[in-house]
Amino acid sequence: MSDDVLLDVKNLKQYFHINKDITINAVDGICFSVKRGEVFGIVGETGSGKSTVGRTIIGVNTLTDGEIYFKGQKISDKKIFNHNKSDIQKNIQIIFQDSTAALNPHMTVENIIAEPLIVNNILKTKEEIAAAVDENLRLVGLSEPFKNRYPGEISGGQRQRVAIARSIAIKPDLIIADEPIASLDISIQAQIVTLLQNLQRERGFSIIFIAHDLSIIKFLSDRIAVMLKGKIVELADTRELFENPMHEYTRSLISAVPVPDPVYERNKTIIDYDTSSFDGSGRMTEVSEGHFVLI
Amino acid sequence: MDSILDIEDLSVSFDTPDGEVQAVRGVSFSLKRGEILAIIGESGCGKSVLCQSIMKLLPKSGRIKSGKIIVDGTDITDFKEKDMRKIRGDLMSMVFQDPMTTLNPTMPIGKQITESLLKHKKISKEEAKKCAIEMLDLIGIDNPEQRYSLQSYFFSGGMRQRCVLAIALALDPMILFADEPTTALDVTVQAKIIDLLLDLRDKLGLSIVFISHDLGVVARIADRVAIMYAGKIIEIGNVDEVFYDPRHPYTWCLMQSHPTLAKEGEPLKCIPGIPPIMLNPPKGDMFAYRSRYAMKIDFEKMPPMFEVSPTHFAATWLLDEHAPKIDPPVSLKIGEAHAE
Repeated sequence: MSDDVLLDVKNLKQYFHINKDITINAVDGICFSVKRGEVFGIVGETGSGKSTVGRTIIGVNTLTDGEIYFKGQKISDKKIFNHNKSDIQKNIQIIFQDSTAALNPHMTVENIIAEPLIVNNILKTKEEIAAAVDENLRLVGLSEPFKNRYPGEISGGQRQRVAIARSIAIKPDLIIADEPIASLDISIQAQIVTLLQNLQRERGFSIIFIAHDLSIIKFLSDRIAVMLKGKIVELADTRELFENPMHEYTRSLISAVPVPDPVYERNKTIIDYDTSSFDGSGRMTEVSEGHFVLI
Repeated sequence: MDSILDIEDLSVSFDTPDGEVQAVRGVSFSLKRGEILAIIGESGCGKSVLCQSIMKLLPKSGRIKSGKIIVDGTDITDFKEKDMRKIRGDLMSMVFQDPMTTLNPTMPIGKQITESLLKHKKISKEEAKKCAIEMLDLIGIDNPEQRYSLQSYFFSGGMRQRCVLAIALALDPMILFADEPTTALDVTVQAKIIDLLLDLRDKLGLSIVFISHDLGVVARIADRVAIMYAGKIIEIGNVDEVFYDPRHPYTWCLMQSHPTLAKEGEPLKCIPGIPPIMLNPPKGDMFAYRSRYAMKIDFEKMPPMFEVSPTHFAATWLLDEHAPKIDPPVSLKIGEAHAE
């Protein structure tokens, strides 16, 4: 494994046993790796398992099968995970879609951003922590007075900024952003995407960006994985994926992205892909360098 | 008469403990028969309130302050709930954003469609059932006879939105208000619902007011577009005019913040600041506070609607003859912005 691979996921499976008859194969044997400083996009429809991937990597779910390597360490192994727990938790952060649910309503913005610094024993003195909170607030474009507000008192876009400030406060290597902009307004979406992009370029951390909106993923990501029913059906560099989509489902997704161009939209035909015919069979095959398709 | 809905200088306010919130401020437009008018705006710009006030579905704290609502030649501005019940569904109908909460989870889909049929028309239960099955078939539900008696939780999101449409269209209304009907759906499903709406317009001669914040969706569906900001329509015109020749700085900003229009390697241009709070709105052009192109007069006087073409109007002082000439920062050419 080369040094620049930050996260390596091998044959990850996440099954949920609902009862003795029903098992949901949310993630069904996927492989990918994320390089240092890379933005890796995961796109897919509702129920494709894209959020589960993020949650399993961070350890919210105990994985059913497969291996996850973070900085060369096999963190899917309980023992190794517990041994390096603080390091792993410091270096993988997650931003959720619903910022209302993600932030504790009883804590002020200041306490929310300070909490990871205190819990992880990164800064000791009150002065250092206060300075770090100010610094991170400034980075996400919020001013001083926000420190004493509660999450319920600020807008959705501002809450998502606070969530970002909290996740970057401890300088992680990897941020998993699970639909961070889906519940925001169009102009606020642009603000948050730009913010994430600027921070990523400045700090050089990696992002796994999970979304259902292909146009945002295209804008932000270096590489994209397309998920369907727990499988990755196609994985390629962003440009390659859009110029040369191989899987029929990818083609149908790309064709369905609405484009603000009336004449083009009126004349465009949308490729219809019947997802019920997809049974997940096939092997990931490398069709050109770095471009994998499930055939 | 070819317009089916005329709104004249409509203002809607909410009375809150902090004072009067002016959600809609002097909106005028007309909707032609068989036309799809899209209303675009950020949340809080008043686009949903506008539709709710036409349907008279405003919450108790909201009231129509002034203006006229004329539907098919009849002034319904002063209609009471009793009168509205007769025309809701029959003359105009509404579809909401979230199909999960619109449907009654305990009632079979079919029954939810026949409910309004039995209330409005003097027909037997069997006839109503036949109508409902036809309706389900029309909006593209397979095996409508079997699905007729199923509850909504057996259905996927796209199918639920189709059922909501079936309920709204059961009485063959002339106007449909669609309040972000595809926002909660996946892109592939969204495309199918939009094509269904276009198809229904051709088949039933329906007029649609389509509310959205997605410029891409609007480009596919709309004949005309109205851009709303802070309770006012600030630009209105045919879809091609507004997309290929936008005139209001706010429209420029909206288009620039769309990721598919961003040039590769360049950052997204976003609109600084947040929309104004409609409690004591500031004087003049409300967008001036966020606009790079604001002039002195923008902070003093509200701009009137300037005519760009007989069908295209924009409310910005930049169109005044004394204003400096500004090259719009967006220039969308036909066929330029596509996914490949």
